[in-house]
Amino acid sequence: MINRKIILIIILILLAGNVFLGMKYFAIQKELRLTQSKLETQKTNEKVLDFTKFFIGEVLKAETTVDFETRLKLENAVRNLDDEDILIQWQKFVDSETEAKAQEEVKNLLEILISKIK
Amino acid sequence: MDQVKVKYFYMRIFRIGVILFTVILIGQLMSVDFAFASNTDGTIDPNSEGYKYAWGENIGWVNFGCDNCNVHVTDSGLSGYALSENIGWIYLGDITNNNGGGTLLGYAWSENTGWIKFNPINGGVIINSSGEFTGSALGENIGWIIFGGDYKVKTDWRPASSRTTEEETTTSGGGGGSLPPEAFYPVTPPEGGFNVLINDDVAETDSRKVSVTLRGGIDTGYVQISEDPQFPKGYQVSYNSSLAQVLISFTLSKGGGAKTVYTKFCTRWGRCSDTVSDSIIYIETPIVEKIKEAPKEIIEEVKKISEKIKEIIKPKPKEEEKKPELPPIEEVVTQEAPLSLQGKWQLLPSEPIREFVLAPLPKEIRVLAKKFPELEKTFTQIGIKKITDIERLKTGKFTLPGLTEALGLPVVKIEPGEIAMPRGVPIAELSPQMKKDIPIEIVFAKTGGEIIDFNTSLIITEKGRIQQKITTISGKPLQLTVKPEKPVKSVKGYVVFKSTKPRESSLNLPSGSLAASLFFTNPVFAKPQEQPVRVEEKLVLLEFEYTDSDGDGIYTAEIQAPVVEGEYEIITVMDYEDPELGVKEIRLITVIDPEGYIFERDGDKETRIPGAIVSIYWLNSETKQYELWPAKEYQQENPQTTDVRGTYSFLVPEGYYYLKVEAPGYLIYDGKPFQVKEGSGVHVNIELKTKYWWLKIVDWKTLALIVVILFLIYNFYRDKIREKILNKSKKLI
Repeated sequence: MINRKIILIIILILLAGNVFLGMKYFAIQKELRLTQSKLETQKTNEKVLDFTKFFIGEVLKAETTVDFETRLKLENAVRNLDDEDILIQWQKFVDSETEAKAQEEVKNLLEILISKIK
Repeated sequence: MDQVKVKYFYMRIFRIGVILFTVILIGQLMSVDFAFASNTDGTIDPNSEGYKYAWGENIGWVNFGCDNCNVHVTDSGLSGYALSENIGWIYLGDITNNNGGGTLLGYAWSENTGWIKFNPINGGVIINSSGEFTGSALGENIGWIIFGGDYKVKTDWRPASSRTTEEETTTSGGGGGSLPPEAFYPVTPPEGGFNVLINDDVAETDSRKVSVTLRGGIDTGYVQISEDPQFPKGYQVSYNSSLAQVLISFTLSKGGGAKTVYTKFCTRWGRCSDTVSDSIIYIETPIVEKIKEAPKEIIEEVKKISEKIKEIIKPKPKEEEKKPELPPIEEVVTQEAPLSLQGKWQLLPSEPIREFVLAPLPKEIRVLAKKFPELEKTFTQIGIKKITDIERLKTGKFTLPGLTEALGLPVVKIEPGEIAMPRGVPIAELSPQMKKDIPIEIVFAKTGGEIIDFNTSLIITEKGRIQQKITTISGKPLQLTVKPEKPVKSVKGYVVFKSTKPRESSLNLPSGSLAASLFFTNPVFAKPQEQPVRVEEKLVLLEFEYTDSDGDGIYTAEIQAPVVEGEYEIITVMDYEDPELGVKEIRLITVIDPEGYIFERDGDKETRIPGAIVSIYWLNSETKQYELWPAKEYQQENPQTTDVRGTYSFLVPEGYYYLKVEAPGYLIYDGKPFQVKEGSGVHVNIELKTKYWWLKIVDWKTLALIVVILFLIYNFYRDKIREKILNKSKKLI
């Protein structure tokens, strides 16, 4: 009789524990998903900022021709952003044939870069 | 003995009740919004990009796995919402699931476009054995929504017929483990054998969409159907064995020619018949050919429509497809730099930048700086020259001195043997010379019987206008003083409501740079009145008249600050006798802060405490001791007893203060010392802790749980004692 009671109590405690841990598990899962999504955004932001910094430092501030190595790095960096809008705008800028067009496209590129930071 | 048994029986009932109550209570306390996904209660994984979208021919993507969709698939039906990029939410709760067979029946409801039928003629949506939605639904206003193919929606729910025995037993919580005998019986054919007919066995069709008639037996649970006899990707349909035959819609593979549809009739335990098939010849005919007899114009129109339809039903490319094909990097980055990267061009246009950076300060600020040399000097020192420098002014705080300080009078009252509190000088006590020195067309604000001067901040509006601004506490008296430049017919004042939330000023100018110079010789704030105040009459809360009883040219008025917190304007209108000067007005922005209140926190709520005694103490610089502030000298009370709203407030001169609050039943609050600038109000909200704060740590739920546990323990203890007594009685008997 007493054994049955003890078993019943243990089952109850285990049930309560399961419910509690289950609740915790799902709450943490939810939190994890949220954190992962935030982390993704953060990573994207970092990549965009790094590229912007690199672009300003190596292109906008350049007084001579941007060398091959740097252009390669820029191309890799822009592809690494994995963002179609930025890539298209970058290509438009690079393909500019007049100074006025380049000025226009560089403004658009900076605008897109800033708008991508969330 | 019987009595003991009855009593024991009741105790058992009571114990079961207590246990049930405990379980329910724990469930209540720990309830959480989640659901277990399983093959009997399925969800759509929001993280699985490829398995949550259906495609609407007119509405684009429909997301079944969005964050708030909460779609559940159970044996009884669907619940939750789908989200369309174009038509918004679609409610799925009215769709049933053919008793767990996977064939979806009924309608979904779109808030913007009405009903969407999930089992229309020539269509229908089925969840197959892999949990994928297949087929098409038809919206009354939006046309077809296609499931399957490139647009997949997948759930972890499975039709009853395709759940494995193990899963069945696991999910049902059984635990037996052995199959029923009928699970091993072969599928029973109907009279005349299993049969399948495409389009009622006609020889040809010109449409890929055909109807297939299936004839199964009494224990047929589902039918595998495919154009491939190996059933590699065969999709299965649930079979209602109560009907003589079942008609389903089937889409033939692309390309004309003979098409054979293979079927297998299976029991719900997976025992299947031999393959049964039917064939039909699919004649692929372009739409235009069908109407070749029609006039050319119609053919052209039809061509256009068919092109348009192609455009509409063109599926949205997947994420991977969306990415443009990038040429190899070596091709893009050549040894020769493109023109834009040769450093020959100025990439940032210089003219707009130059115009922006070098734009001069707004006109009003320049005028102000010219008229007030001290301000101009300050601007030069901190490098305020251009419009872009204005941002830097935000870091500073500029204020005009009060009337007493402006006249160069000492703000600390010197009395023999002691240093008294700082205090202003009432107008009536000023000498004729001092009255002459009062700056013209400036409104000075005082309170506390004219001995507390208000700080007046200088603010610059968005349009570059300079305004005066004071801050006071609701309902407090306000004494206003103004000295017109020339004789006036009248000086009127208006209190105008502006907004409930005080706006942030773009610039506050600190007193340090301005106080030293008496620059108020020229009017700055007074402007010719552009339109009468009457225009704003609906917002005018109070109209009053300034008076000059002793004829010294200084006009004064006493008003009560508005009770409702917010931002107001006190407009002083001077009607000059000289027609050239006309009517001028001075606007003084007055921010009314609410009174402070004493409260007790109860969770997220605050309860105001009436009858609390609030005392303010000031630091006597002579004795270096805090003393009760002599409020009577400033027409106020100290200590103050809070009313039913628990409010209090003090308008005090500059100095160091601290607050003390006492209320019956609460711990005494002894605040930290704080500094008060000239003419500021003391109105902080103070929280008092009850003496019995520890009672609040334990809430009723915890208490109830503890009581239940104690009851249980006591009950078990009593049981033990009772059993011992019973055993003893038995032995005695």
